Amino acid sequence: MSELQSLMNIFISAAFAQNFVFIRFLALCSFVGMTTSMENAIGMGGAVTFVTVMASILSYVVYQFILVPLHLEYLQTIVFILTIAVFVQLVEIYLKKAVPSLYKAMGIYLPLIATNCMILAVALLNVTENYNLLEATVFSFGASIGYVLALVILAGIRERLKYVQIPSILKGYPIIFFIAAFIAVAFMGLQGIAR
Amino acid sequence: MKNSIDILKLGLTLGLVCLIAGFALSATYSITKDKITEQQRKALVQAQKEIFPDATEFKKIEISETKVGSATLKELYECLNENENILGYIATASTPGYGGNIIFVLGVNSDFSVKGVKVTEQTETPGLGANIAKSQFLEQFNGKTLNDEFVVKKDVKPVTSATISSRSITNGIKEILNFTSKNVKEASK
Amino acid sequence: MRNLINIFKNGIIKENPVLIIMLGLCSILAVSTSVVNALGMTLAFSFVLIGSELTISLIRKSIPKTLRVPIFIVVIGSFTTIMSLLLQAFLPDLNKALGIFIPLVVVNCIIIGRVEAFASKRSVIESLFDALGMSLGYGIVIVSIGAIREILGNGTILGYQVFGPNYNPALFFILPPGAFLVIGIEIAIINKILAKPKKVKQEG
Repeated sequence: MSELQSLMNIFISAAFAQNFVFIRFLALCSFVGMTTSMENAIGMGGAVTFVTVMASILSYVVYQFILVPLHLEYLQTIVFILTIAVFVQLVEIYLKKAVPSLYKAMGIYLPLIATNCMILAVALLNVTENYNLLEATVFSFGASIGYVLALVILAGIRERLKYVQIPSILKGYPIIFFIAAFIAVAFMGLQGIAR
Repeated sequence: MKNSIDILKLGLTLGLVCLIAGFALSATYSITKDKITEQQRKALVQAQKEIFPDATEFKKIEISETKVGSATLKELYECLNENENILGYIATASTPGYGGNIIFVLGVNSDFSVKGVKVTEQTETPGLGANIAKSQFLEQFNGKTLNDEFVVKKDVKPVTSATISSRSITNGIKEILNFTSKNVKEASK
Repeated sequence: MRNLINIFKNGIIKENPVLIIMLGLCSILAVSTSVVNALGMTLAFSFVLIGSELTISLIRKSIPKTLRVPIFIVVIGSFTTIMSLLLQAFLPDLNKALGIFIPLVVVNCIIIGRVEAFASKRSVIESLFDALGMSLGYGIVIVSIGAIREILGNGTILGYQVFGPNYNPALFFILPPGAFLVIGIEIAIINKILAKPKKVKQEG
């Protein structure tokens, strides 16, 4: 398998076959909380994509050049989460000063991102799957695309839900989870496509 | 300047917290370190013993992780009996399955036929693909040689409704068997 | 004492971290494939929650305001790593079953949420009861989902066959869609039970 094919494989697996929301059960809090409107979904999706890819690269570098040489691999969880939190903080500060318009658009999502379990999960998976830097970048990008896809699908459905009669017992979160269940069935069908 | 003193105090407080945390962490690590390595070897050691019950020593062959087709060879061992004769070889490898990587142990006789296969880790669909880890499925590989086709539905009976998982492990076994027979003489020099 | 019992009960029903406040969803759905896994996850989660709440409450008066979040992360992260190391050493099968969700406990919103909202402001003994209540609330949800998924999806509970050997398990429940369905049903039920005319947060 050529290098490019293998990278494509990683991307498709992360985005579809092993979708981070519907198959791996990650980032569910933001999946449920940020899909009330398409605007929120896209905004959150964009912010998460940016942070995930950058934080993955950063964590990878920290792991390979600090943790491994010092035999401190067992500290990866705590070091990665600190890296992510610090990175998000720096991005927030920078945006506030340098690009206030972007800060206004993306700013509210940033604090929420620090606790997004998908970002930490991607950083940890890059280690367990032994990816090199390029593979890790492709993987984190694929995961983010899958996340954006999940959010956009649900936001689209939820916007239309407003015009539908729902039994009162299902109003609110229950109907959302039922919908998610069916989308998950669809994604399960995609599982075999990446080998 | 009051500001710099404040920042210094903040830095010191944070530093102190990190120091205490670091101490607790490294203490726990040193206590658990050996037990963890022991646990990680347990699955492999058990598989080795089950496949080659007569072997008294498993000598590791110095070889780095290699990609073999779609599978990845992780480790290779020579299986010796008490007279230092080679009974066969053990390869640990992983191959991509339906729901993730399948980690397996392949036992190869000295004539490069399959001695046995054990699946140590898999995340296939429970009740379907996961059954590739069962001995009822894996037994059929015993005795297979490189002359066999290793094709599902031809010479390999798949797990019902789990063709993809069955194909993955079959392919993995074939590739690792191939690699082992070709490279074992080179590597153990 | 009455106060402490109320704090404890709070975490189980009124402010159940999962069904009411909607936090910690990821681990609940991913790990609830069997009762054993669910119990194990609860154990891991409780260890970190209780440890973190106690520690933060102990030092709450010495935490400078600007350092709140970094210190929370360091404390929660340390307990998570310690828990992970202990599991790897002494309960390796559980470690494999819970997989990536062990280190993910550090970003479990319930823990960060309780530490911020409660432990950093209340006494040590109160924080202990809060942690215990929240752990029990979490545990009840994940174990109940785990039980339903295991019984319907695998025909067993705690590994013991429930139905006869001819029962063909509804695999659906062990798979991802089943998880979403079961939690949807549980939330619907608890909403009905609590049927107050309160507005659910995200609607409207």
